[in-house]
Amino acid sequence: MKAKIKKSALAALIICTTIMLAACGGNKGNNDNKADSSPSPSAAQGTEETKQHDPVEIRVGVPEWPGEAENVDAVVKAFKEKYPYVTVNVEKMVGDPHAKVLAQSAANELPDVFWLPDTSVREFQDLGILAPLDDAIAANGIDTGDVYSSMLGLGQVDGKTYMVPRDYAHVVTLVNTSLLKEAGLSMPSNDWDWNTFMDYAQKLTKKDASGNTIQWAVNSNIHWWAVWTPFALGRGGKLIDEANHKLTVASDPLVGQGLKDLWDLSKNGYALDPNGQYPEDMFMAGKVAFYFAVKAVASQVNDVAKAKGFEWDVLPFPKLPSVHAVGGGTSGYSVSATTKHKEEAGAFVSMFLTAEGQKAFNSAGNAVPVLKSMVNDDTWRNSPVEGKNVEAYTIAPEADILPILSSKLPVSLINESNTGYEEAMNKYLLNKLPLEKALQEWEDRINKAWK
Amino acid sequence: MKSRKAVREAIAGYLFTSPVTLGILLFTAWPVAQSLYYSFTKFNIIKKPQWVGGDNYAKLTGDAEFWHSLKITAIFTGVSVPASLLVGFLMALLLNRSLRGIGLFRTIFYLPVVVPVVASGMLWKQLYSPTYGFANRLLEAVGLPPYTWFSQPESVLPSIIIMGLWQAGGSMIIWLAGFQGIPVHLYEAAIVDGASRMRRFWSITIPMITPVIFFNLIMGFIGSFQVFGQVMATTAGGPLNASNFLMVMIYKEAFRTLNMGYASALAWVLFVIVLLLTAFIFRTSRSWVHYEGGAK
Repeated sequence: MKAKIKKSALAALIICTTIMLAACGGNKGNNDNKADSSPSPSAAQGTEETKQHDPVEIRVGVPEWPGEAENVDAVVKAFKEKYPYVTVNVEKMVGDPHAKVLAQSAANELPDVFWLPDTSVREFQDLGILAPLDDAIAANGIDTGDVYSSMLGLGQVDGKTYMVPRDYAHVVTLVNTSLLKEAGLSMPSNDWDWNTFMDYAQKLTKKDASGNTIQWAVNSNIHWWAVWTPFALGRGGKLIDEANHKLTVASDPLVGQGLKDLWDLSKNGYALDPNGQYPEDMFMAGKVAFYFAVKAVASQVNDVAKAKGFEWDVLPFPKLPSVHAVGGGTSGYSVSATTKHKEEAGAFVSMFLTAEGQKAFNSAGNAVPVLKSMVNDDTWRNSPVEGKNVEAYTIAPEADILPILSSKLPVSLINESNTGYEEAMNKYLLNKLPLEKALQEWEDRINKAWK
Repeated sequence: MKSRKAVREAIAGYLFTSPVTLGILLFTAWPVAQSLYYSFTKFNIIKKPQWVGGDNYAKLTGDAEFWHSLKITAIFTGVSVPASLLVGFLMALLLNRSLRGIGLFRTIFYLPVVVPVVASGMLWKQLYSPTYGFANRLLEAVGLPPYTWFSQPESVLPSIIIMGLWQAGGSMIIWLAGFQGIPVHLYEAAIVDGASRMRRFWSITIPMITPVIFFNLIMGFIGSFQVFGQVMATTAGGPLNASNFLMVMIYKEAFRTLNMGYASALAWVLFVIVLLLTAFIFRTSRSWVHYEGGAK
């Protein structure tokens, strides 16, 4: 009896160990949140597509934040109508998507299609993770002339497309109009400029007796390239001398003047302090009048404004003193360089550049369509509520700029340059260095390594 | 010559321990060996590692950021380990008495230890908010000027040390167990001999508690040199790298800039530092740690 129990225990142990080891062996077939786990029966019954193609299964990795998987599910439905033989499994990329893509790629587990932000395109392309998409885009009959060129540009490296943008994220100014009313100010017009902005900023900022700001004019989003790069160019400066491989943030004094415009907003208490450790998002708390952001935030602002009892609207990014530059970050979908289903994966990402794909993706109304032809489409204009100044989201696309440093510097120096910006900004704001010296440190840091 | 039964039993024994053995080999020993290899390579996770010999270690010696990280990690360890030992010790002294509801007090003091690190980070960020935080309200209430906490490079290190003390309940429990393990007859004999409260504390409590001091010291040193979660959840190494501790630097090198080879070299240097310190404490322990019955 004893021997029998021992043998059974050993057998159980061996099975458990085998299962444990098998579990470590990867999860290529392990998909959660299946948008569609099998080819639809109707599709299997004899359309031309199913006759010509064997069933194909592709995996699509989406970030885990609310709404994205649902929006992509809507695209999957539209895609299935065109490609009934393709089964699309939508997987949530739990955790930091950047680290997730790297880890999955290293483990040869990368989904066929996956989400990535504009700022990762060059790095991932350089690592050989991304497949070029121009052939797929052409094969699927996409009119790239209808896509906002700045957004296409965000997904390109050396003229080749590696990421299809999923929306048009043009930086705007969200406005707490209740604070403007309280200060006796009217809503500025869509062509407002830097002088008007500063005039409003002075009137909207409130400080207590000890000089601490208790109501701010703006959440300037000071860390985001799509805000600081336009400011760096706004006085007519140039960030880079491409011919001589030099960063010129200190050598060109106009860059410093432009960045000073932005950084002084925080230094003088008009904008939130990047080191301020606020207990909550102060714009959402109703204590900030302006917020440099994109439409994706509007839905949340609308909900919070309703709950907190303030009104909101939207304005374009103000025209800066010398150059009208507006940032526009986006994100989108790429195809893995190692996918076995290039054709189907390419067709899937191309869906994001079609009217039906954009309508499906924007069914929640959180984004501005990336197609110029949809500028007047009600699906996004009346979302999250009607009656807002939605022209602001698409005004002056010619002023859109690309992330100059991350598209022109060698890939190995992009992180270094981002760190250089953060350190220069903090040294200036924390009074550790004067502006010129802080910028010089940033410039030297890059130029000594840029051969 | 072993009997067949003995061989069968040995095989069964190995099989029963095999899940743990395999687990350690696969998930600890193999990654450790891999990281040692990577520390001699240039490696970005995706492309194949390129052998660069001792370049990563040579680079370390001239890397001002590494020396800065090592310096602040050492300062943090030097201050936070004794401070948290002292706070845990005092808390345990307070709670080592038979009062009504003492279990509840012990639980309350221990609770911060079970709060997830990100949640406690968020909490402390709010407490330390210069304009809205409770910490500055408290200072104002007692007539002190507001402090900059996480907002300035000069104040971030003390702020993180104070934040760490909040979790001194972890060592408190061990102190408490140590106090309660001291035989009562030693105190009774001392009282009969007329020993004062202080004499009993210095001559009985402290010597009898030295194994606990030793344990807490070792664990404290190891934990402090690896400080990471609470920093990432609050300052992420800032402002101006003032809280860029060694583990934070390793993480950034590995997963932000993809210098996995250099990060591995940093990790091995950290390992050697912790190993040497631990060995040093072990060596000195012979002269100051007393075990009941004289065992060393």
